[in-house]
Amino acid sequence: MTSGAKKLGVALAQPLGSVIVALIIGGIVMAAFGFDPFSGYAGLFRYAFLSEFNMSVTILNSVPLVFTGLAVAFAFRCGLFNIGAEGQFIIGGLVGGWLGTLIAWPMVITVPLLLTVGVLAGALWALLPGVLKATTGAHEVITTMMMSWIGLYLSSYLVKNVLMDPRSTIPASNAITDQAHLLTLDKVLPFLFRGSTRLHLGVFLAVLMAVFIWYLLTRTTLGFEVRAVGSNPFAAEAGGVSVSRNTILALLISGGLAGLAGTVEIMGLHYRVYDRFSAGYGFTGITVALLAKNHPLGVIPAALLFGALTNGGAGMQLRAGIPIDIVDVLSGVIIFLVAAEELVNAVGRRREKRRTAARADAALETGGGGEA
Amino acid sequence: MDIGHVLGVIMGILSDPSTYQAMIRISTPLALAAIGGTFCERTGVVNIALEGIMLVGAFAGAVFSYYAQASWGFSEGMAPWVGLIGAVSMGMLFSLLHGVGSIHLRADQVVIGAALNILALGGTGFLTQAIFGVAGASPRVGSFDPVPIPGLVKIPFLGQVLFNHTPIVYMAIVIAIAGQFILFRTPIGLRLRSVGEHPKAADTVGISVYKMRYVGVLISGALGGLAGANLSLEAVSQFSENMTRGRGFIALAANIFGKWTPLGSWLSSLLFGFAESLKLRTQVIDIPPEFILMLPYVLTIVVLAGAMGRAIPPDAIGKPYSKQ
Repeated sequence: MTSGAKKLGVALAQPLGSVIVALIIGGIVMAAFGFDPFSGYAGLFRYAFLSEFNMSVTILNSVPLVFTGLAVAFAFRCGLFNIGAEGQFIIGGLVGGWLGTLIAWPMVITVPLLLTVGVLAGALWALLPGVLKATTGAHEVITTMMMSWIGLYLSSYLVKNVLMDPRSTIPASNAITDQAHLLTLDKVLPFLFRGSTRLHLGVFLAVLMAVFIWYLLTRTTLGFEVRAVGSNPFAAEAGGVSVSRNTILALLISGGLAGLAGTVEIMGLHYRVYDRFSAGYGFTGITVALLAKNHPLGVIPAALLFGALTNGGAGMQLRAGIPIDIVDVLSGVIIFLVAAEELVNAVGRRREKRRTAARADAALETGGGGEA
Repeated sequence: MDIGHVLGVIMGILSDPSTYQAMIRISTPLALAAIGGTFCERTGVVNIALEGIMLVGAFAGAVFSYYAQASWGFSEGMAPWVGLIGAVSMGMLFSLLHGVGSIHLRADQVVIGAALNILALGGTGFLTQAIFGVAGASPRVGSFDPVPIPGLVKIPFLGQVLFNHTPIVYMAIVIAIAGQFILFRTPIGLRLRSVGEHPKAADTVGISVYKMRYVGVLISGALGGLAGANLSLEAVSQFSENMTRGRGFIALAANIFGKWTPLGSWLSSLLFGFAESLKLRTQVIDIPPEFILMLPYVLTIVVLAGAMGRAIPPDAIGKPYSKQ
């Protein structure tokens, strides 16, 4: 094995192991409460992957998770925990969607404009926590969380009172204009799809964004400074990297990514702003980022996994009557295990100790000095 | 609506003892969780898992109270006490996970806290459906009634405000005062604080850093559980999914605003309680409910922005300690 492949293997082992252990624990919990874990997981797998339709739902679920996962991961690389991506997601969708109901310019102008507006709206929602963190030190975990609740209620108010479509029976805005749609893939790549699909251009945008963020973090000065602040703020400051500037910048970019996720969700899937249109994508983004160990490219498979789990969770509920909340239980266990690196290190150390001891014994027996 | 009328309504609210009674009642779960957070963070362990601990406490309180009456033969009056014991013990058990992750495994304490919050949300949701067969909420359970304190309740104004509450409200006041004394006036309090300020020094003089940190975490589990019980075993008398609605984070802010002291935590919780008590009573003025619901969250940010810089956290907060 080359050293690069070996490194990748080591990097993947812990997240993969965590997922497997979490699935086993989940199975034990199901069995303990009288559910059949095997038919549960079979239902999960069937609903997540089997059939073109299910596969497309899984991918559709993962698209917002790629963006929110990137959002949380980017902030983490700067040492910041953006726990409020949910609020930035909602505000991004609200503002982008709102403008989408008003503008009917040609698609090539409208779509990029709305996406940009979504980014700006999400960034705006993260601005105050960023500024407070940089100036007064107020912990971003609390402030972004509080902004999230404020965003939820604000969007709820606006959808019900300002944006409300009078013909709608549920709280929802007017439909966005046709020019504001992110095209579905059967229109863009008709040769790939037999019939129609709900998959939209957001799929490509998500992948592109992951590559872009990876590039930004690893190949640019901005990324270098953000990571320097994240790994050691004191050293960064001493080396002439402004901690407060990068703190604000990282939260703005993080909020922008979450806001983009919300706008893409409205422009590609819902075509109007519903009250509470987020299925907790901001929060699941935390799990996605941590599972990916905050690597922008790792976010893609992690998002697919959670897209599949959310979709498959519905299958578990339908097939085996298992409450869909089990998906959150799995998330919690996965984050815990991924965070507890020491678990793996402890096992490694014990093995190392045993090996050293064995080598020492061997050295003693042969009477040689040996390396031990 | 003219200004004179609005002012009149506001004056009416401010001079009404029931506003302040609501303030004390609403601040209780926040205060309990905040004091738990104070003990935990004083030992150097960040606890954003308070939200999850409260949720577990609220759930366990409802379940234990339900079974106490339905299967274990307790009277309706005793059932909530069984619920309370269940909430405190389950809160402690759950916080033990935080301890293992943050202390023994030396993981990022904030991340472990986030994991536990998600676990609590999913776990209580799953169990509600698994145990009661319906999603979203438990059935009604036996809960605490206000216990007026004889004599004292007759004091004009103050009697209504302070002495006509459920037992957990009185407990919170006692815990705030006792907690302040224990943390700052006793040897155990000194030990708890020392491992949060300078664990290496504490270790050198023979104080077990791990043990003290576990004590801090378990106290937050017990008080967070009690705070949760106060939610499900009070007026609403049932558990419903995600019923904490960010209160754990507000409690954390109250702890910071109270400069990591039990009395300070309690007093700043009163501030949040006051804001929320206004929320209950401003329906007479024409403000959209969404904006009133936002109030505690806005206040949290304002308070946090103001508190920071002046409030100095324990020195070793958030840093795992490794004894080598």
